[in-house]
Amino acid sequence: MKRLLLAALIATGCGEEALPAPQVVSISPDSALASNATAVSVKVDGVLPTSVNYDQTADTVDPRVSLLVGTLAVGTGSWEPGGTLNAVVPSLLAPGAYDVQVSFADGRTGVLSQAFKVARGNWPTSYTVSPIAAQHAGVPFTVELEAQGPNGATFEGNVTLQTSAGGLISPSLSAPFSHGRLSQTVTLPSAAAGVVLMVADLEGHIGRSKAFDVLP
Amino acid sequence: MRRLLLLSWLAGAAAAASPRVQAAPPQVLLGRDHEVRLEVQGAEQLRWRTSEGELHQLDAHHLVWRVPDSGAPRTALLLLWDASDAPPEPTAIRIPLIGRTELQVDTEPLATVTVELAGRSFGPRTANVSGRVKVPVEVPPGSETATVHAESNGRATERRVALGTPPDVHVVAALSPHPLDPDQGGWLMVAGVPPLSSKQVRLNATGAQLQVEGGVDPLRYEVKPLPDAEEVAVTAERLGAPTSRTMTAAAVGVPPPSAPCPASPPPKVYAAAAAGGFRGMGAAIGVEGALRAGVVWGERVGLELEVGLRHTGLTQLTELGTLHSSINVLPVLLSVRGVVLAAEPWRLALRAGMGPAPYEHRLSATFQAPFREGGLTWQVAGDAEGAYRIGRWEPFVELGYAYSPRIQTPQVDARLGGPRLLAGVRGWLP
Repeated sequence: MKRLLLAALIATGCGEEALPAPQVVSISPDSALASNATAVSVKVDGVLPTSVNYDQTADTVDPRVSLLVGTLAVGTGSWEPGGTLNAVVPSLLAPGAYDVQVSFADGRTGVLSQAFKVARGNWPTSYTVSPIAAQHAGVPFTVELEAQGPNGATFEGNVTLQTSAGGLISPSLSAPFSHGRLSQTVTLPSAAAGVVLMVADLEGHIGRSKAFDVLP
Repeated sequence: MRRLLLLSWLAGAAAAASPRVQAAPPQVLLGRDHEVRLEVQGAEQLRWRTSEGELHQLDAHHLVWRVPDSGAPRTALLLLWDASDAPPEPTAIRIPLIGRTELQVDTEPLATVTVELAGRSFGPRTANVSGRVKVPVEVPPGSETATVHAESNGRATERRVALGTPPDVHVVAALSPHPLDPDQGGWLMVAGVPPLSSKQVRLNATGAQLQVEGGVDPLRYEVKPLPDAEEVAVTAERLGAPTSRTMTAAAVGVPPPSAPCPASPPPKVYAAAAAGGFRGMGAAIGVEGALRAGVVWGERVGLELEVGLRHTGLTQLTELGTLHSSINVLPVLLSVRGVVLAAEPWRLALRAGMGPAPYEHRLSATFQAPFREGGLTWQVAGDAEGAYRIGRWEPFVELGYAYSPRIQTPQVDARLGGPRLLAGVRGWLP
């Protein structure tokens, strides 16, 4: 009752209150090696865009959430009950400190400044790509990637994927390597002859496949 | 309802010009009944004198007599007349004041005891192992004895016990008009409990001569002030009952240009609490409570201040989890309340009021942080109230409609206005 009276007094002077901006409470872990894809948990305190209509006995909750580490969008794009957002930060960030930013669908944004720190990584010297037989456009196929060099066996990062023809490839960023190896499924949407699949990491270490044809 | 059926016209001794008076209730149980309402017809300038208690005029036709809280069983005597009549034809109202007590009985151990008193039976009660028992009884005025019946082990006994009530003998006397005209004089009216004849009353007048005009209670005497008398004083008593002596006096002089207005009764104050529910639009169904304080003038119209609390809530299951919304409104209403129908002990009143209504909306969910927002709206309410008076207490039920604007923010849209039903109790301050 006391709180209600207090609220009433506050209300008399202030009127309705807008929803608060989300607060990024923490990110864990708060640091990573540049060469590792790192799973993080971001704790957010906030209220999603929520509306309750008594006339229609209905409510709406917009669960869309944007999570950025620096300028890198990570996460599922949706709110997770309890406010802990889980995401994997790929090895695409150069050493340094980055803001962690959460935005709701109605534009409210919260930032935890310089909260995620990236240290120099232990990169491979190069990558090998398994031989690829002729493929068909639009049909997924698997390639075996392996990191080379002294740090190759411990590499846990991502590489970008592209073709020599400059055509589209999906995905353009690989999944994280595990102990220096990765079986990556890719799809090439267009037919072409003598295609070379190229992989590269943030530091510019690359790998190439032998040429193969993509049939219609 | 039984008390309503007991309503009766109590009129004076067949005088056609006497004020006609209806009293409700016609008798009083001391400690339970606190007032008697009188409806009077046939009097332009009503005047009165009472053996005890206070008589207040509510309007031209209604008076209320405040009952003493306690005392021995006795008969209250109210003498009313129309001062515009010459001579006045008084009406005597006799209201029995029934006392409540516990009669201590000593009898056989574990005996079953009943008490016969004034045609009513009280009990049975069972005596304790010492043969003692207290039987609650109601003693009407004039009851001097009671009969105690006891039965133990198949043996019945009967004995009479004295109640020790004082004699129920009173006299009321009044002079009219006030002041007495030095030339025309005036009248002395005398009534008694039990009713008097002119041969049963002893009068002692100073400043005037008295001449009896009628020999039936209420008695009337013509009063002729003595020359140069400035005041007339009369003592009256029933012969053989000196405790019944009463006195009345009136100045002798030119009457004022207009009769003074009868004193209006002081306003009455009450506090009340009520609880119930309301139905707004859609899911806006909730409970509400109210604390009220009010003041009433003339038993009819009053002002009331109410602080209420209305609550409604809505719980829904979303894809993320459970979402609960609740709204609390704190209306502060100033109302006008009027009694439109009074048939003791029942009352029907109408109430209308409005005022500010601060509100609070809360959101809580299993999947996100809670949120609270507030605002200010207003509320208008109108109710019909049925009440039943029990002494100082008045349980009531009211059906009404409360309107308030839509509560609308980006987070909530609700209309709490709609019908409501409340039940409560009102307590009248002494």
